[in-house]
Amino acid sequence: MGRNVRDLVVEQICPALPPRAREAVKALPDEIRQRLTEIRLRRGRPAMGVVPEGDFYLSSDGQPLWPGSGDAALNQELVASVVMCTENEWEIAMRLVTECSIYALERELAAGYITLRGGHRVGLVGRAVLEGDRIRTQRELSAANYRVARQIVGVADKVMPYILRRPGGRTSSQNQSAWPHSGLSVFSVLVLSGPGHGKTTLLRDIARQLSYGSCGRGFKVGIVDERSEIAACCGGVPGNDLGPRADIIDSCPKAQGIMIVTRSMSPDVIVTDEIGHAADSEAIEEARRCGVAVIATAHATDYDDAQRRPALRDILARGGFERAILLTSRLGVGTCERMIHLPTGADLLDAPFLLSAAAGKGCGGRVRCVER
Amino acid sequence: MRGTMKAAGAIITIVASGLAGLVVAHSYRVRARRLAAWVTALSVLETEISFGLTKLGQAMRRAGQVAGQSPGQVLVRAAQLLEGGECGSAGACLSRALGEERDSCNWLWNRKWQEDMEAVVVLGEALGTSNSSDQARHIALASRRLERQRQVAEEAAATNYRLWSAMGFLIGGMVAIALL
Repeated sequence: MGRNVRDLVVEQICPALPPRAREAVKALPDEIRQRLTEIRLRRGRPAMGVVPEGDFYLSSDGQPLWPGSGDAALNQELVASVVMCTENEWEIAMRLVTECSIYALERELAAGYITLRGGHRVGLVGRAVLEGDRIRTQRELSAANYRVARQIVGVADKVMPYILRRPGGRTSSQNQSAWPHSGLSVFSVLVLSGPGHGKTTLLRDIARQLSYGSCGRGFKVGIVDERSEIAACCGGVPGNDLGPRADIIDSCPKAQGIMIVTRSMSPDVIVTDEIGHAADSEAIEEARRCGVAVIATAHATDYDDAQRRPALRDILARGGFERAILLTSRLGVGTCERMIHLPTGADLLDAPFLLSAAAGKGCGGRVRCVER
Repeated sequence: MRGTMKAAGAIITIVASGLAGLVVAHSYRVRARRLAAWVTALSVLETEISFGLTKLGQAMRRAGQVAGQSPGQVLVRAAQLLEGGECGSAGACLSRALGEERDSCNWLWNRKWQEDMEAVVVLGEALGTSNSSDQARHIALASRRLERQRQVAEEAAATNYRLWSAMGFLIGGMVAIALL
């Protein structure tokens, strides 16, 4: 899952970094910068970059400083060239990330993230300001995590056959006379993984392929993009390519967004990221009752972990999803570890595989549905 | 011939002095209009920030477009500086834009600029740094100060416009008589 065409880090993330960190990131060797997954700033501490192999200190000369034998080495040998996030740099970073508009981002600050143009999420933590039991906002921010969001076209190619349902009760000749895949429909699928294993990237490409109809039939895809990560909308225009049939409700709480999209846009499938609340489960169940398939992601390291989360356990028990995809990084970021047929609990995969964009052309209009 | 020259000189003196008086008189009205435009701009800014939750750069641009005149140029320029990330905080961007506007204007039209714009400079330091209700309070406070200044400027304009309109011609006439 590492293919990249544009240098997103330089184009979209560097403008939101303070000057010294920005120059250090720009000076990184291309092969490192292309694989950056995170850039971490901590107030008064060294700025760090993260690649799939691990993290490193950003240095003013552009060479990544790997902690190596231990961070203690930093104090003696590396401190001179390490880019420190000073008070001044931190203030500039916060100004750039918030665009001097704290008032417009209270909800995001309370949730702990701000989304940059391009769908890159900046996680932020500081001192929470409470209002009753609820976090109203955060102040005295102390750490920021810039997460690089990359659209990888075709990364869902190998998964699509497991997502599409073969027309039931029709003969192949009936199908072919009208439209080769006119009877295709979509399974409700839950994508599970821990952070950083490629859930959102996979979800985005599934939405794109369904919308384009790259597997034979185009589906109306309603995208409920609470964190602006799937579509990366800016001024109402999606920054990521999601095809011609995608309708996006942006920055809207998932449960409400699912209901709005279901009622107003008559989607074939709803795509949403990171479900986990009871309200999300109820909204998904309601959408399913309306005949709309739902493809969602959730944080869980495996299926049992998902079962331990009350909201997910609830929706899984009620048959809200038909299939679950479990992603890990065992063979590399974006390893499809299991493909669970939820009614029976059977694993549809013979062996785990690495999601890749080798073809990059979707299913080429032909799909072999995998059903069991 | 000499009489004709004297008459021409006297006419030129009276016209020049009269025009100078009119310019001074006009400067009083310019100040009052500028302050009125700033009050309008801040009203739009408050709406954009507290109701629209529009990002500050865009909010300043919209307020500037609605208000026009001097605040329009200042706010649009401040928005450019802010979005370009080249100037620092919103306060620094606004101060720089105000400075550029002041330097580009006729000194006479910048009558009491420092005094009038102090409210805007103080507001700039608070813009974008707190929640929407707090922002609305800051803007309302600056708006009240500007409104008060505008009333003073209107009164000064009412008195001084007619005074200076006549004064220029009178002084010109007196100088012409003295020279004759």
